[in-house]
Amino acid sequence: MNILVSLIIAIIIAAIVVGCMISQLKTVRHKSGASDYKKQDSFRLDERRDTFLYKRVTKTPISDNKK
Amino acid sequence: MSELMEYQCPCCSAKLEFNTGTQNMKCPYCDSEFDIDAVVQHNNEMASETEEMKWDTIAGEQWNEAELSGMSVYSCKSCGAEIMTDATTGASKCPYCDSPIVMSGSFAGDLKPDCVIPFKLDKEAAKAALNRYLDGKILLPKVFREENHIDEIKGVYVPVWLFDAEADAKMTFKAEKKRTWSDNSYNYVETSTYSAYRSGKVAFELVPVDGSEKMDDDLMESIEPYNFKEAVDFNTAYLSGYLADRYDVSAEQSIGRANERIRKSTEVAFEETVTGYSSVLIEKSNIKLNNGKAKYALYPVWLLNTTWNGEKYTFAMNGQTGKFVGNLPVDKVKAATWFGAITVVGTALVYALSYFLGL
Repeated sequence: MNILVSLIIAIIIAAIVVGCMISQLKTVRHKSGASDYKKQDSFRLDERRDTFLYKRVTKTPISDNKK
Repeated sequence: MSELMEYQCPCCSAKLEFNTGTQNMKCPYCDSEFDIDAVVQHNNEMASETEEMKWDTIAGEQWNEAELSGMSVYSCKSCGAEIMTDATTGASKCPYCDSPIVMSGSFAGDLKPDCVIPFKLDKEAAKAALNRYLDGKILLPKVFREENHIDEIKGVYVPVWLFDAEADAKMTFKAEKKRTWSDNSYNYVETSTYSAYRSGKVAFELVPVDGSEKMDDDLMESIEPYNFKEAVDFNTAYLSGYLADRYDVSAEQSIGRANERIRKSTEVAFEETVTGYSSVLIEKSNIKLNNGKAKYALYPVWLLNTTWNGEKYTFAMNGQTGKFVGNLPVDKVKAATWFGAITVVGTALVYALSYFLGL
């Protein structure tokens, strides 16, 4: 493994760590749902129907040259 | 003869204040404590008769003469906020932009809140929470902590509209199941596609939408949830010592936001019933909402505004649960230093590791 690859890996790690530290500072979040306000036991599933549509098979040849 | 909204201590006749610790009215002079309902009833008995006028509107009620005379309205010339409080609590600075505010006219046209969640945490608790929040934030500029004028944290009742709704959902999903196998020459992937249909009902209650333009919606939503079980019928006594924001977004304008959130949660609730697949996508979503009666409530928030480096930062704490949020500035120099340091050390470590592992 040459030094360039090591550098790239280190950069990725640094980005993740600094990213975490920055996210500590931003806590205002837009709320997309209202799950906190669901009425207890009000969920009722009336109909449940799973219908098979179609099947598709893809095949890829096993590569011959192994590194 | 109009009634004064000052609540007198039955023991020593001094003015009572609302105490967050015990959730009762407390006399600062003789230290006696009284239940709010008892105080209100006592006051009513002492004064001349009050006229209670009630109109049935979508939410909120009409103020009666007595209550109006005991309230003051302030307006901020800088940001346009309109703050109200009881006549005996002085207000001098706008809780949203820190500018001085002046007393303006009455607000006879406003609705009276249906209910209020009283402040459970006092100013000291709010200050402590702010300090705790600033702890351990590595990239926070040091100067920010010191210059922050923590003392100016203000307790504000934010007007919220509370919506109920029953959602009737009919949804169709596209779901896939995958199966893989191999033989000597090929790798096979079989993808079976299904159509999943789900229909049913789910109900939501008390979904809050903030009714104040000045209060950032995202900020208000970030400090949720509030526990409505601790809400009480509105009474001007609760405003004593705190500021209340007047609503300037109507219920009709707010219902859209509530329904948006309700729809999203409904979709998630039904999507969760499509199980046993490797991937699920919503194909068609038909959700009908039946909205119930809305409520107008006041929710407690501790607010602090700070200007730093030309930017404005607002922090909010849920006055009932203590949840603290606020976007803080990033010390760019510190961040760059950390990034550089980790990169250098990381490169050396990874290279050394790979050398020893023979990669």
